[in-house]
Amino acid sequence: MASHSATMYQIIDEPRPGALTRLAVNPFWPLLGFMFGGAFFSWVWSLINSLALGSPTRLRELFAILCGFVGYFLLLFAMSFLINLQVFEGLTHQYTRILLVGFSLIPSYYVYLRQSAAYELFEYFGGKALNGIPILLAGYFVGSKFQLAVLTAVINGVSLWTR
Amino acid sequence: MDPINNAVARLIEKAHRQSNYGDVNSAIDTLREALSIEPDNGYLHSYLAVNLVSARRLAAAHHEACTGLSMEPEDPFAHYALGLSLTAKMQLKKAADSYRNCLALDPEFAAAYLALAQVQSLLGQRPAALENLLKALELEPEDTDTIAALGQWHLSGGDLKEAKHHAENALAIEPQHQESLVLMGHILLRENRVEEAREHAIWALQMDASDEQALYLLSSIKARKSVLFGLWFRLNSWIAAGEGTRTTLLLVVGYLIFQLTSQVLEDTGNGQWASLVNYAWLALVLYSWVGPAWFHKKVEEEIKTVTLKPSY
Repeated sequence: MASHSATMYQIIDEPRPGALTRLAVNPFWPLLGFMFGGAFFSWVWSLINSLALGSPTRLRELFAILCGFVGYFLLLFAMSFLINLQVFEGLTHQYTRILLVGFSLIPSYYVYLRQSAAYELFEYFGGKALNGIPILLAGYFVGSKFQLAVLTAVINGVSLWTR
Repeated sequence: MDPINNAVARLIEKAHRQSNYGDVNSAIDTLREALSIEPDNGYLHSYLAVNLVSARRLAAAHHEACTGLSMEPEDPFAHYALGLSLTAKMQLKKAADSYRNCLALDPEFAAAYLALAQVQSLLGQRPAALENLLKALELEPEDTDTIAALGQWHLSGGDLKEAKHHAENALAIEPQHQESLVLMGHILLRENRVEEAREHAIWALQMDASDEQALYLLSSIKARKSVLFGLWFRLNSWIAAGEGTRTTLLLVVGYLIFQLTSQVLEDTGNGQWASLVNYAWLALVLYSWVGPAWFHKKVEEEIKTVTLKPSY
């Protein structure tokens, strides 16, 4: 197995292990967390994993998730606006839900693809990954509550601001 | 020679050996070691880039190629390495410019003609590609890579006879030349001689079990043998082609089309059609779950029959 010494030349795509390294998981688990705990849970887990893996593209991943978060609420408010105005006949919140799920998958899958390359190198350099199942189970129980709390907080914040 | 230069020269030689044996990861480690001793050596950066391209670490390869070129702007190999990294990133026009820069500095750099021809083939500039292949062949008439590329050029033009002639020529010079074995395999597959094509794929894999082209040939053969495999193989090749962003968007668009169609059908009172769409989606999900696992199992069974050459 390859090993790193502190004085070794470092190639830019190689993971830079940090204090969170022991929390690293296969990026497949945070992606699966999308199904079990919702988008916000999956994004938070992906960000932690990005730091844990020392992913060389962590800034891009952070940016993708931030765009996803902002886009999520823009889409939510835009759809609510259109539904309230009754511009399109038959447009309901069912469509909002579908579009939100579809839209949220974009940053999740993008981050998954980026982290997969980092994870391969992480393993190549002898990194040991955690089993993601316990966190996935936790996500199943708290993910939807977390999503609801964030949604409520943002919607309340925006309605206070627009009042 | 001073001890540092001597140590770096030995490491370069070792990396060459490892790279020639197809052990790209070890070559990368060796070059990293050399760069730890001499970080300002442009050639080391460029050569590392070439190996990183082989390992499909494209962002790092591009970074190293640019670093190598900034250190040695007059070195044709630095331009060549940058061309390779750009080709791997499918930035074909920029790659062609890099190869031309390389050839302007060294008009006898045969590998650059070959690489330029391959890029031109991808750009659909077939006559220009042929011209450069012939130039490469003129410089190195016995180069099996070039002869195989010429065969590939004829194969992609549908000229099986000429392609076969070049594949046979290359194999006569180097009977274990991987690209030529794979090329011959593809020709045999086109001739519907599936079993012989399989033997060529296995033969190529004996030399290097990780050879992408040989694995692709073997997978193509498996795909040819079964309609269901073939469908998955082609669908997957189409979805996964290009960059990850394209794959992501294709998958998400597919998901949205299914969900929205289903919802619209429900809302317009066509519940029975919505159920049909849902069942079709379920079948696709099951197929895309079981299909790859089954396909990999079948290919793996085949690969297990390969006895690697002792030199591998």
